[in-house]
This record gives sequence, C-alpha cells and structure tokens, in this order.
Amino acid sequence: MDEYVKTGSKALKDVFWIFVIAFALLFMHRKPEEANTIYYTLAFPVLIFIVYYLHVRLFPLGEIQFVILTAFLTEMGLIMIYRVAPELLVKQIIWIAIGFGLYFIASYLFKHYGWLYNLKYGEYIYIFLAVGLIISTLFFGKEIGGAKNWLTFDGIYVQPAEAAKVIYIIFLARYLKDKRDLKNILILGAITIGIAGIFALEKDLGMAFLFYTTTVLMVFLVTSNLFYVASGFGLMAIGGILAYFLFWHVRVRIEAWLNPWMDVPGKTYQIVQSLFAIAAGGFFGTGLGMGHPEYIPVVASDFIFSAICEEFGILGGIAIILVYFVIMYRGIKVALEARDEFGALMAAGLISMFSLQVFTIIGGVIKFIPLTGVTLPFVSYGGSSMVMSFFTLGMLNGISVGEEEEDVQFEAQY
Amino acid sequence: MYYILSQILKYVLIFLIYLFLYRVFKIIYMDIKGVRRERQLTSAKLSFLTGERTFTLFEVTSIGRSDECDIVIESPYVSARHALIKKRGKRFYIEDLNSTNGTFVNGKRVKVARIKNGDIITLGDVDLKFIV
Repeated sequence: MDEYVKTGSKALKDVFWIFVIAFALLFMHRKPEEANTIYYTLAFPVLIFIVYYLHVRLFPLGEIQFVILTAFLTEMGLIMIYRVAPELLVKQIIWIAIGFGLYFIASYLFKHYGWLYNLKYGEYIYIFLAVGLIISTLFFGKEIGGAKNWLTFDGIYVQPAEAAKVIYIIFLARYLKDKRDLKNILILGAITIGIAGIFALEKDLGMAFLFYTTTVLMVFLVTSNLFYVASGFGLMAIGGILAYFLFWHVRVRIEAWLNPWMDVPGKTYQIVQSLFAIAAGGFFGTGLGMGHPEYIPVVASDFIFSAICEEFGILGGIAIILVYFVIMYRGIKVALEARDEFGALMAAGLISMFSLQVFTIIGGVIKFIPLTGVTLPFVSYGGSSMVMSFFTLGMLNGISVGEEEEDVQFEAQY
Repeated sequence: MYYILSQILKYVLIFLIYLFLYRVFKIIYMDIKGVRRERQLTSAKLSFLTGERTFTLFEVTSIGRSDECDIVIESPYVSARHALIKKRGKRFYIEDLNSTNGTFVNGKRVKVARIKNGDIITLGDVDLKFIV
C-alpha cells in the first residue's frame, strides 16, 4: 500500500515537471498578454495538488488514479490550448476547477446511489429529463459549427446533451436492472432510435452514435444475447445508409471519409488539415511552438488530438490514448467490484459512454471512422464537456468508495 | 535559439510523458498483483484447542465442512461454508458466512469481528485458537 501511494505521487511529480517545462517554453514562444494568464497558469498545479491531497484525505479507498490521470490529460489540453488559442486558457482553468468541485460532489452524491433506484417512477423521470434536455436545443437551441446543440443563457453556452448522457445512463441501468425480456428490450430499442433520430435532426451525429452504441452495449451486458447486438448494429447500418441518402450533412461526412482529397479547400478541409498535422509531427513531433496547428479548423476543441500529434509526435498521441485505456480499465474495475447490479450497470454504462466518446473523436480525426464532432474528454476546450466528464468520473469514484465504506461499517457490527 | 531549445526539450517532454505512463502502469501492475496475493500465506495460525492440528492462514481463508474451503473441519455442526478470515493491513477479521450454528469469538456470537492473538474461535462444536 505504501509503495502504491509513493508511485502515485511520483507520477504526479512527472506531471508537474511536464507542466513546468512546457509552459516555460510556451511563455518564451509567445509572451502572455495579461498578467492574469500567468497567475491562472500557476494556479493550475496548486489546484492539482490540493485536489490530490483532499482526495487522499476524504476518500482513502477511492480511485486516486482518476485524479492523476485527469491531471495529465487536462494539462496536455492546457498546453495545446495556450498554443493555439491563448485567450481561452483562463476560462479552461476555471472550468477545470469547477470540474474538480463537481467531481467531489458527485462522489458524495453517488456513494449511496440506492435512492436513485428506489425513487418512485424513477425511470419515467430520468427518461423525460434526458429526452427533454435533448429536445430543448431543437426548439431553443443555437447552431454552432454545423450542429444545433447549444443553449445560450446570457452569453454562457451550454450543451444540454452532455448532461443528458449521465441521466440517460442512470435510466438505462434502472430500466435494464428489472426489465430484460424481449418486449421490454423492443421498447427500449424504440426509445433509443427516437433519441438518435432527434440527434440526427439536430445534425449532432456523434451524440446519436454514442447514445445508440451505449444502449446496444448495455443490452448485451445484461442479456448476453448476441442476437440483440447483431440486430442493433444491423439497424445502425441501415440507419446510416438511410441517413446517407436523406441528409446532406451525413453524405458530406462519409464522402470526406472515403475520399478526403476530392475537395481539399472546401468540404474536406478539416480532415485533410488534421491528417497533414499528424503527418508533420512524425515520431517525436515538431517541438512545442514549431508546428502549425493553427491551420486546423476548430483545433481547440474537436481537433485537439491532431494538434497534440503534431507538436508531441505520434508518441505523445499514443501516450494520450494509453491514458484513456487506463481510465477505461479503472472504470471497468469499478463496475466489476460494485456491490449490486444497479451500481455495476451504472458504472459499466458510464465508462462505455466515456470510452466510446474517446474512440469516436480520435477515430474521427485520424480518419479511422467518419468524422463526427464530439469533444475529447478532459483535453478539448469546452465547459459542458469538461464539467460532465469530471462528473462521470466522480460518479464512478462514488460507486467504488460506497462499496468500500459499506465493508468498513459491516466490520464494526457485533 | 528558441528553435534549438524546443528541439532538445521535445525529447525531454516525451521522456517525462513516458516516465509518467510507466508509473501509472506500475500502479496497475501492483493492483493486479494485490488481487493475486489472496493466496499468499501469512504468519498467522489457527490450531485446535486439543492440539491435534494447526493450519496456516492465507490472506483470505475460508473455513467449513466442504472440500472447497481452505480449512476443512469435518464436524456435523460446522456449515459447508462457515466463516471467512481476512487480513486487512495488519489486522485479521473473521466473518460469519450465515452459518447455521454461528461463529463465536471468546464465547460471543459475531457476524464480523476483529480477532487478536490468543482469541478462541468457536465454529459449531469446534474450538480453535488464533495465533499470530
């Protein structure tokens, strides 16, 4: 146990030195315009160490690795954001601080998650909340970057779909815990196809894919029935083909995926720039400040992975992917060790959604699958995504802490 | 000047990133090994009060009449899976597995209890002494 903690703090020290070297270089490369930027940047390592200390104190049995890994990911994000869009840095640091706060709140909220299951009419409440959040942007939403998935409140932009993700997972866990015969699975399928349809109308294909695939995975988890999975993916293929012929924006995406060289200055500009950036990086990257990530469109949010690949090389990119694998491993472990089926399902759903999101965007920017705009959790710039990613990990931490504490209480009984 | 610095430091950064990854994976390795440690022997022992037999305890030891248990006690009053002794840190805990006749520590019926050196554990009609 002792060595366990020691290795953790050594890993955190590595994160700190990466921070020092990278930001020393960056501040030399481009002098910060305001003193504020420097103060906030210096606040970041302090924040990480406070969070680490608090986590060790409050949840001695919790998933401390989540803090170490997210510290690394958010830091890589900050480095790249300062590189491509320095004015966003301060905002991003504030979002990270809020995110860590929510992480602790979620940990406490979900330590005793039984009430979520026992809530009367729970599944109806969850599904109406989730669908309500998703539909809200269809009526009141604002279109940014091609997808109508934003709400604005006095200049603050939020993506309700991010919150809907978590609520939808709770709904799935609650629903599938008791209802798993053919009729109920069919009802669930109809609901999911409806949700994917709403997303398709909002032109948010990434989210449609995420919600749909997560549901298929969860159904497989509870029924272990390959037929459901096969028909689920079959329907997705049919839906994809239909969407290809029905919607113009789907056709553009798929054509850009099949042949990115057909219209480089126009339709396929994004993906081609991303590929150029990754190619320019090579193994070790161009070095911080030496590449041209500013040529990539929306580089601070969706395409941040290409920018990292350019300046840190493919080795840096692989490191990011490996870190996501470790988070996935921890999440699956939480699911395996959860104290009841509801908790296990919830943890499995959360981590599947999280991992699928990572797969969707990294696969998209390296042209492994058609590009869809979702954010890279913890790395991309974006408030809603950052906050909800932290919330997700907080829930997982809560589920794992809860079960451990149950044990301790158990021991005291005579 | 900046160019040279950036070129040198990019290798340093990659090195640090992989050092970080190495440590993260080391933690996972220790984690997985920790699960396997359940089968490791400890210094604690459990012996019959009559002195006929002495068992060495694992990190997690199950006791019962069934052959699947780590310690098999052939007595009609002992349940198939009767109790579990776990080591947590340096302490040992005994947990009753809903046995018919109960688990007693120093004469007191317990569900879960910490056990110390010299405690007498009663399972059904069998008395055992716990020695660290």
